[in-house]
Amino acid sequence: MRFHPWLLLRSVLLVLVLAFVAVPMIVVVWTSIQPDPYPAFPPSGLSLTWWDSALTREWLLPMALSAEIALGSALCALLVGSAAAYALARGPARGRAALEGFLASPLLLPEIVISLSVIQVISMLGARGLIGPTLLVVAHALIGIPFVLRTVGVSLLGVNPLWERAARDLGASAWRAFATVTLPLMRSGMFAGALFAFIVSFNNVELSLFLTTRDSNTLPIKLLQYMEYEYSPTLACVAVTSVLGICLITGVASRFVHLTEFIHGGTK
Amino acid sequence: MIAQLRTKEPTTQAGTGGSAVTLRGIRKQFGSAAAAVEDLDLDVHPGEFLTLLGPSGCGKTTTLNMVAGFLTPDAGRILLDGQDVHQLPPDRRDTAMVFQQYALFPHLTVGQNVGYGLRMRKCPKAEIRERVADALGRVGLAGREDRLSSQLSGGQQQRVALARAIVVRPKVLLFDEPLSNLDLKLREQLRLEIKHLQRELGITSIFVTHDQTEALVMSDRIAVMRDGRIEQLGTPETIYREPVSAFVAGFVGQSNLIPGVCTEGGAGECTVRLATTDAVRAHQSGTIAAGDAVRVLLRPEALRLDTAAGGPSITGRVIDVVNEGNLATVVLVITESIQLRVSVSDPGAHSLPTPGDEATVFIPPGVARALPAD
Repeated sequence: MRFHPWLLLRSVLLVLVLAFVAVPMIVVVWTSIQPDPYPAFPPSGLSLTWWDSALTREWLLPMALSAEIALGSALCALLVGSAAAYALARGPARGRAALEGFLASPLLLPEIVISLSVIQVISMLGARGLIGPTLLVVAHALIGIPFVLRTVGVSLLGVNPLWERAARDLGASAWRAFATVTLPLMRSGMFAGALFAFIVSFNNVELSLFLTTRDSNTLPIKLLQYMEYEYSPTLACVAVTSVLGICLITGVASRFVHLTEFIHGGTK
Repeated sequence: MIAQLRTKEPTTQAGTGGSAVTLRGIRKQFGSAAAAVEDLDLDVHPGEFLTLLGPSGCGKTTTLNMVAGFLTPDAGRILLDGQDVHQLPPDRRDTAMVFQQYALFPHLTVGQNVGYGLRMRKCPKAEIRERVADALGRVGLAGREDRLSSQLSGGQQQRVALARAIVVRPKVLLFDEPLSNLDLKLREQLRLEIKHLQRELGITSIFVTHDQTEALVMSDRIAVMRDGRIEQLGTPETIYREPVSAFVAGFVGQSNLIPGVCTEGGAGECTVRLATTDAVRAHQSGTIAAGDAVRVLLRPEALRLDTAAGGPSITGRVIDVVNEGNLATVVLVITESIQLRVSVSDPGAHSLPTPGDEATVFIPPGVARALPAD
């Protein structure tokens, strides 16, 4: 085969890009399974010693709290986002773009600013007692909604309004026509959106920063606070655990729906 | 309702049985545009196949959607079997529609699609299975229950849609240009299949189309629509032979419409001086008085190129001869603005003129029809 300089360049570029994406993950995984407090290169060996301190109440409780909050906020985002996506897809064209932009605006604002304004509003209302998991669920839903809006919107593009009309004609009430025709067809979009919403909530630091209390820390906040005082490969073990959890959910989910379809905004 | 197969009731007994669908003074306007449907009255007889025929924008689909309940009329009443339904939503009306784009549910199998209406009506499972199988059998798709609609061809999809509509045994079947997305061969075949099925089941049907051949072949009666009104309502025969206006004449079938002036009015017949030639005697519908401007309809197949026919004649220059084997069309220029088409059946037996020739066209007695000039 003839040597082709462009082909080589392309391969090198590809490897570099993939490495760029993969390196942080590789470093974290490697850190979690070696014995040194400050990992060196070349590695001095393999060890699971840090995992003993990672899989303790200290870390598992925040992880569970984060998962609960993420689940709650994903459900809220799913409900509001799906309803909004349906309204945008089926409602009048006037003002559609404006409304869509408005609903996505929490993504444009620095989250730390949103966090600040939430705390301001709460203080003004004299309801600082609300600060904690419940408020986090609501606040995280805010940044989950744009994801649901997008993925459900994409799946609704493939749903011809005529189908619901045909269902009505055949005797289905408005609600049943929606439930038996449109809803099943937007299900994969809803699933993907909820998953994204879950992940952005689970990993969120900025929004949570002012909204957690000492005894209700989410995992990312706990990691942050821990790192302010000391460093230990335990953190890597905790990170790997949460990544594994999310991979597991994504893996199971993608067996039922085509998630990648929504990442490149694919059309059916 | 149709468990026992009804034979089609003759369409002439209008007064006796009442009508299956009654539209009274229906009006519909979208935004500030001209009314899409204006003061429309229509009675569809039980078991009848009625076609709403007209160009796009004439209000035929709007009318159909109002019967189905997808649109609410601004004024007027809609009755199905004597029951006022115009306030009822589509799911409470006993109608079933076959759409132009099939509108099959993509996530359901063929069998689930066809059974959808029965499930909404809470039929027992066993009965659904039986009726779905029966309906699929009637449209020639027996045993295809487990296919996905995306695995079917366009013609098969429309058959499934037809089965999905008839399986609920609706009072009225509605067709919204169901054949427009199919190619010609399939269209011709499905026309006959739909017609046979409708006759067999005796379901009152309203069929919307812009295809005049479809209307002529399938209908018991045709309502030709124009600008939101019914221009003429009658049997295909009447619509073709006795159009009431130049619009109907031009829309249905091939036609020559020659301008002229009525020189002598009368009951049912008048004399017209054509712009091209001597006077002809012409049948008329409505009143035409001496001095009125008219258009005279001369169907191409009624005109003759041979002298034996006699009658008034028009002479012109042949510009085109289209020979399709069993039928040839000769196009003549009479004056700058007037062309005349003459059909010659079995052209092999005649000597056809060639382009450039002078030719004389004879108008046999009784074929001319005077229509009011628009």
